[in-house]
Amino acid sequence: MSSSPAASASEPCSHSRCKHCSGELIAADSLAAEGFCCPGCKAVHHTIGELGLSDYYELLRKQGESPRKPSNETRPRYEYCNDALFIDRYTSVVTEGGSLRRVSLYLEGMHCAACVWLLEKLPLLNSGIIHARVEFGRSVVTVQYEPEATSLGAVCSLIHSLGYQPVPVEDGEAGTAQAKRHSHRIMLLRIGVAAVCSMNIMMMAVSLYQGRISGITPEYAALFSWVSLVLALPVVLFCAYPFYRTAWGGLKAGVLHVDLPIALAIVAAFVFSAANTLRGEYTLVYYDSLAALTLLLLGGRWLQSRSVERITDAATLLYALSPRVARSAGGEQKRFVESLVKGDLVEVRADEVIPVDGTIVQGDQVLVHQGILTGESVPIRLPLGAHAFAGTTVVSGTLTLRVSAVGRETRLGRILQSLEQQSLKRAPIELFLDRVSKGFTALVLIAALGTFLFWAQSSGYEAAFTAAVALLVVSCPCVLAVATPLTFSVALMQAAKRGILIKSAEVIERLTTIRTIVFDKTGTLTEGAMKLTAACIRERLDGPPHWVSLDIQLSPTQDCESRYSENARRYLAISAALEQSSHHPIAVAVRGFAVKNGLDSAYRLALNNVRTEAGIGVWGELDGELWGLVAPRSVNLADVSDLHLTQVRTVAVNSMASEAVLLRAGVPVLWLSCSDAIRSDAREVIERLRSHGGLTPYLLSGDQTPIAHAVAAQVAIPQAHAYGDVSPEEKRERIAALQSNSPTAMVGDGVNDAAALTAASVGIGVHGGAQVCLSVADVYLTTGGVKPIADLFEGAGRTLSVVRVSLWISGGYNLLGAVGAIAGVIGPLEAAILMPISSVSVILIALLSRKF
Amino acid sequence: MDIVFFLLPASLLLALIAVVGYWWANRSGQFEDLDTPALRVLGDEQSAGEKKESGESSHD
Repeated sequence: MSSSPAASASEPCSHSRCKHCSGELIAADSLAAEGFCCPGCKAVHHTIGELGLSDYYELLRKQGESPRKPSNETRPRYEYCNDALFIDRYTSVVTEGGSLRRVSLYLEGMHCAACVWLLEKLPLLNSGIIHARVEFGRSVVTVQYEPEATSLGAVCSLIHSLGYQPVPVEDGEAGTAQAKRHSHRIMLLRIGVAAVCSMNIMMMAVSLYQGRISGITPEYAALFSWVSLVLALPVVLFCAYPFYRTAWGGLKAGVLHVDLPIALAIVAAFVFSAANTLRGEYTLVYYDSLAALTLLLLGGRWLQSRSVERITDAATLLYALSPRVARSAGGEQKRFVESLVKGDLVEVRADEVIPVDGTIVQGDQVLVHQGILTGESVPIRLPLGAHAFAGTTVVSGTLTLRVSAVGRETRLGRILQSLEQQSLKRAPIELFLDRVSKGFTALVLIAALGTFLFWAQSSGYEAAFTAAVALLVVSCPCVLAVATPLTFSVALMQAAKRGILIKSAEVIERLTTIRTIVFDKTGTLTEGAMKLTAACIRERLDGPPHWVSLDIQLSPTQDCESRYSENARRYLAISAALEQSSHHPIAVAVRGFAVKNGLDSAYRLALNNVRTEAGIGVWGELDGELWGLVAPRSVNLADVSDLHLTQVRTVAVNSMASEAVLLRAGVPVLWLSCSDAIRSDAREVIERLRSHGGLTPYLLSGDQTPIAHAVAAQVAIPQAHAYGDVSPEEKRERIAALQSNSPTAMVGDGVNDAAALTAASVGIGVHGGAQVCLSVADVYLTTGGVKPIADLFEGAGRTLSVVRVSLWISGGYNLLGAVGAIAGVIGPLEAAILMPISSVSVILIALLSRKF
Repeated sequence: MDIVFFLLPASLLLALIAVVGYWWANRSGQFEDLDTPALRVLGDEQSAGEKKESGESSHD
């Protein structure tokens, strides 16, 4: 009955993946033996299995997804949610006088149908939870719970234990949300009414057309004509109202909006048709055209307005990135971060995220990973008295901080706030389509007026009216108002299918205007994690030193037994074993390599007396021999190097890689270097963007300048365009400067890129990036690597081509039709038929052509 | 064909009822979230299928 995960318990763990998150099994311990990579995954898997919800894994498999790794914290940290003030602020009562409470929680880690399914089963997991509803687009779950039966803290802990980190969302945005919801509903209502009316009108119109051709009894003609008029009224008065509003607004501002001819066409057609119905000229009516026109245009407009909404509220994002609670120094007591004031003392332990900005008063040379703010890929050691920032992580050691800033006042908080403001101010680019619309509008109006006047003086008002209305109807800008939004919508869908999520149609057009592209380094051009990049082994200890490089680029399917010698495998395994308990990225890189190649389990090593010597390395004893994995500077490596090793080391040092040496009884036998590997397709893609796209590439990195230059050299970015040691604030300034010269695109993945992303014309967020970054980016690439960026630009170009082709085709039609209408050759009947033909042809092109 | 004089208003009445129903659904927020229901269905199919299977097998 239960699905496959339970069955793999007896598999050897060397090539297995975590039963829950399918991640690599790093540590060679009892957890790994059970098939889990961390206590978090084990807990989640257990919870899910216990409640008979193992279908979750089936569902995920079908979607091609795997669960996100839950955070490492196993202790519940949601007690603060039970505070009365908190409950007051973040929850609301469902019904007046009732006890049931409702709370909205923003979740990190929700990404597919399985997540929706699992989360909506919350009532099964806690009887105090009455109802749970997911809103996938916003990554929010709204829970109704009974405060008597369970607490908010328990609800949050439960969700956390399933692998999703909940962040309560304030209902503060009620004002704008309410207004948006209202306009959205009215739009839907307008479309619905237009659909019903136009379909019924068209039903009768068929009879009227037939009547015009072969005759119809006056009673029936009158019936159909009058009923059509009545049905057309709501369309003209209610459904088409948005067009009148924008057309009038444009006129007042002195602008010719494309809605003007549309509004005129609808009103003129109605007036003309109503006049005819009243006069008894029952078959010479345009009700079906104007109703269909309104429906199509409204539909097109609605398609355009459906863009992905993400939570960009700075406060919510802040609490998704830094903890809500802090530990008071000297005890286990936890306090709500917002209740802290300057001068308070806070303690942060290993593997914890720092909750506030502060100065270090205890804990010297503690390793802190500041990548989220600075983009550095390696943690740095902070001395006593240094500043630590909210959102950064303590890698090892314990810190006591004196609080200097809390919440929105922290550096992180201020960056997020600037994002909120930035996203509203955008450098406006005169979009190609806007210009076309204006020209078109002017042309049509002039032609209609001219036609009317010409015919009025030559054949009288009726003929003039007929010709003018025919002109307005046949030259309906369907291509601009319907086909183009449709083209973009289809392009967005096609892109999404390929893992490129674009926020809105205008982003596509902005992409085609881009001339400069700026890349972040860590995580964007590089893998973002330290990996073993080179290794040399000295096989024989007698005779002159002779070092041989090991091939590291082993694909996981190749047998490492045939590639490496017995010594090599043993040395690598020992290195991994020595670094077993370290969290330093180098240690993770070495262990990762060993695990991937099955070296850890092949050699079940029991090291004795493992001890760390700060600044030097790790020592351990095996079978009586002393082994050590140390930094090269603590050994005289030059004495035992040969030319080959020296060359390899020079290359490594130049690209700022980290080195480590394995000592066997004091003698170097293995040399390792780890660095943040550059993505394999980076160089090729950048060259493609330069040659095909004519883009100028830049590199901005928070990491040290020499590293930035080294990476730039490897990916074909000119040295003059590469900058290192760039703070998040500086990144934004530099982008703004570039932007003032020519439209610039920015590619990044971290919080330290977020501000820069909003300053750029188009911000592109890369796979694996922070939630913040994705919220503010215009484009989000879900597949890794740099190649999607090239696909993005090419797809945007193709989309615009399709739009241009549609414009030409439709333009041709319109011209013919217009000429015919002006010349009086084309009457209302013919106009009413021509218009749909031209519309349908461009719509088909929009739907069927390949853009992405 | 005089029946048309009755049929037409009758069908329009039906259309009116449809519009009222649509308006009510709109008002009660049923069109608020158009993405999640599509995903929700995938999950339910799964558990419904399972229930049917285990229900049938237990009959033996």
